[in-house]
Amino acid sequence: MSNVKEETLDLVWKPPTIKSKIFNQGTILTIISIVSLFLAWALLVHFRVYRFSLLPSPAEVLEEGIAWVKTSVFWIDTGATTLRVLVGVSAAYIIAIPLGLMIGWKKVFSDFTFPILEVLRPIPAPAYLPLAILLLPYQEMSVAFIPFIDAFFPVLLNTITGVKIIDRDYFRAARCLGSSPKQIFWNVVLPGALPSISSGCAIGMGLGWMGAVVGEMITGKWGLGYRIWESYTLIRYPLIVDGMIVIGVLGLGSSVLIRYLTVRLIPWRRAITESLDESITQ
Amino acid sequence: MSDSKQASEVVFKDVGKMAVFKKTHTVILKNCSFTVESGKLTVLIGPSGCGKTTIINLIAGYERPDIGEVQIDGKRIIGPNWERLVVFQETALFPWLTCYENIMFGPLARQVMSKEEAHQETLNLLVKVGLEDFRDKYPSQLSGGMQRRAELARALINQPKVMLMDEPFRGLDAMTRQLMQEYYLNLFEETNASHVFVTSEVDEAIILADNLLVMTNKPSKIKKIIEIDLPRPRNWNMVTSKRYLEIKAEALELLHEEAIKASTASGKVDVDLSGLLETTRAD
Amino acid sequence: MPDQTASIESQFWRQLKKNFINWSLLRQIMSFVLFLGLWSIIVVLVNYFHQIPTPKAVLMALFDLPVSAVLINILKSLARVLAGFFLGILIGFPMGVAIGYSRVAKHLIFPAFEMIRPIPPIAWIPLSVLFFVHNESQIVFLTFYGAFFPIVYNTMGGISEADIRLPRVAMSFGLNKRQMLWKVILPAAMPQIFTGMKLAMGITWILVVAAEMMSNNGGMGYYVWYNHTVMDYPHVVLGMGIIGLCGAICSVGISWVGNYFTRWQRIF
Repeated sequence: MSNVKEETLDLVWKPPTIKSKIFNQGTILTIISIVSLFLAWALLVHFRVYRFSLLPSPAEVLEEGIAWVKTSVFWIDTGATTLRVLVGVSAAYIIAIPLGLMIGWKKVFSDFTFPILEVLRPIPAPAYLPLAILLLPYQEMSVAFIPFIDAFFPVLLNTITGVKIIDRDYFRAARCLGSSPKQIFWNVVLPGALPSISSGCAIGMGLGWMGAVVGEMITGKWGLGYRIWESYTLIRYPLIVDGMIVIGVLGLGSSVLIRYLTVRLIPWRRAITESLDESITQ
Repeated sequence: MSDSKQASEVVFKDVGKMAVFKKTHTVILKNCSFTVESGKLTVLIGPSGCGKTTIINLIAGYERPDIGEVQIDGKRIIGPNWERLVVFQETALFPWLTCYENIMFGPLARQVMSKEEAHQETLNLLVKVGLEDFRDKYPSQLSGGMQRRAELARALINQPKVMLMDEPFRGLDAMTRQLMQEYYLNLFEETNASHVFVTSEVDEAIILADNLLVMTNKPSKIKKIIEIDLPRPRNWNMVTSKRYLEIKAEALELLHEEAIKASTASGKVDVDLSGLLETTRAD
Repeated sequence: MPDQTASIESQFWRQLKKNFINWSLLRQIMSFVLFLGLWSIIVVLVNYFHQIPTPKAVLMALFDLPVSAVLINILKSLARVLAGFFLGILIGFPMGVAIGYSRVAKHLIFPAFEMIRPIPPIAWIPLSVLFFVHNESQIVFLTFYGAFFPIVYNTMGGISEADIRLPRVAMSFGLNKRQMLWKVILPAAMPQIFTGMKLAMGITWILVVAAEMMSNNGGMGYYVWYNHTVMDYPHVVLGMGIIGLCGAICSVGISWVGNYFTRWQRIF
């Protein structure tokens, strides 16, 4: 009664071709999605729907954008914002990661430091600006304080969580093997928390970009945020959107970069995610 | 409340099933044919990864075979249905409902009982599985064994024609497991359904089964069907009976064959296990 | 014998010390005291920080607070936050559900979102000012935008990452797609949905403060900035504290509501 269909089963499955990858339903809809976004924008402005007449059109944005990139001001602004983000976010990493590791690891340390941090955490980063201006010598640098605060707490919390979810058995194993606290820190606490730290860093980087722009809009003379606000006051509207796009691209790029860099620090996690890639597609 | 036509026969006809990954595929089942006799407890046992869960999914209707057919009472299975209910390895109770609400869920969702009837039936079942004191607890508040019992109750209240158990007692400690097996045997002997039980424990398989289906490695089919002719109702004394030990030896031999094939094929174990077994037997 | 009684006694005191006094709590309270003390000392001693108010100065400022004015500012900020937040839920939640539940919707909407998402909410201020006539709607648009993405993404995540066996069980019980959504998928996604709401709440507060600092239409952000321009730093710090308190209360509120909806999660 059994039909000899053994060979046919292997023939039933076709390996994915490039053609099938491009021309499937998902990709087509994605293209439709992105195209309709720009189309809707262009049409709304063109037909002066409601107050869309005041907004720049995609064509204008493109034109002004190309001209802008060629000026030196663009590079100075981009550089200034990037510098602020880097300074602020790196400071956040340098302070929050060790702090978080200690808070997550030792309860005594946590008791002394965490309550204050929890009280400070709800205060939104922009509210720190007046104090930052007082504290830091240069006004331009005081703007870097906002990315610092914006990035600090997510990185801190992710680091603390990262330590807390380390399986206690690793600590016990290390103690059995006779490790000193210093060895436990470098060999159990830090590596164990790395995955959470890495996602915290990526989040922090994204928020840091947001914070830098916030700071630049409120105060300061240089930077992409400032330039966007100035474009508004000078009635050069297409530049606003150009600025937004640049910020978006750089923000996204830096988040992806951070995630990529930290993943390289965690080779064992890469193995896990690679094996997850073999999961069944339905 | 028992329907004489309740128990059903499930037939696998030449079933083939693939698992598709992004760039490759694996054939899990190939030329797999067998029959789940109506009213009997059929146990599937085999090496891990050989597609036992896939078979459960195929019978339940969550997946469809790539080649061949799965039939219940002569009709092709095309989707999930109250007739074939699954009890999973790890609890799949709805975590946001209490024990009581979970059990009531099926009949109310299918609208086959009024609220009063459902209430009464739920209480009966709670007593039957011994959870009447825990009816208002959430699944996260129950122990592993209790969760399995609740899942059993949730399935049984619908009086399915086929009960599918996917290694439900895995991870329980030995005492709880034994208790659960007893519960389960009682429930099986009371209901009229056909049961398909997947396990990797040989002892569990033999004490429960009417038919023991031993599976091969991937691509899997049924290696051998062992009919367990131990009398029902089963009891623990049978474990030392001569017939039981014969069955167990046969089953272990078959599984051992497949295990060796798997380990040498994938290159995992580089040990000549057949020699090892012979020397231990000689002791 | 004398040695044994001595050790029994010290054992007694040790147990008493351990059980009677909650050392952890004590340390936490001490940390506040230390913090305030260090703050006062540094501000007084280190000349560079002389403009920063001492805790005592801040406390004094609390007493000569123009109460009604501050209350109005608080209410204004709160109103803007809540308006944006609930708008974000109103529009973001259905979208998140659609994207999580339907593959077609996902491919149609998600890519456009992914393109817009990297742009920080603050960068939308100029366009918002252009587009909306009233200052209030400008700010509410901003808070809405800030709340929108966390809500959409976490709702979507909660729905698509729900345990696949639960909908399967529901299918066996004969639920159709609509019933499945309400009775199975959404309850399962609740924890993640509320995580999204907490995130959204945090971001809305940041945006409200920033927006108010830039406009002069009242609100606590404006209050802080105004006091900064007149160099009244005790009131600045006080304002910061009030904002933080409001934000914390809102977050706690959401936590409570969330905990109610996910009360099945805790193992008692």
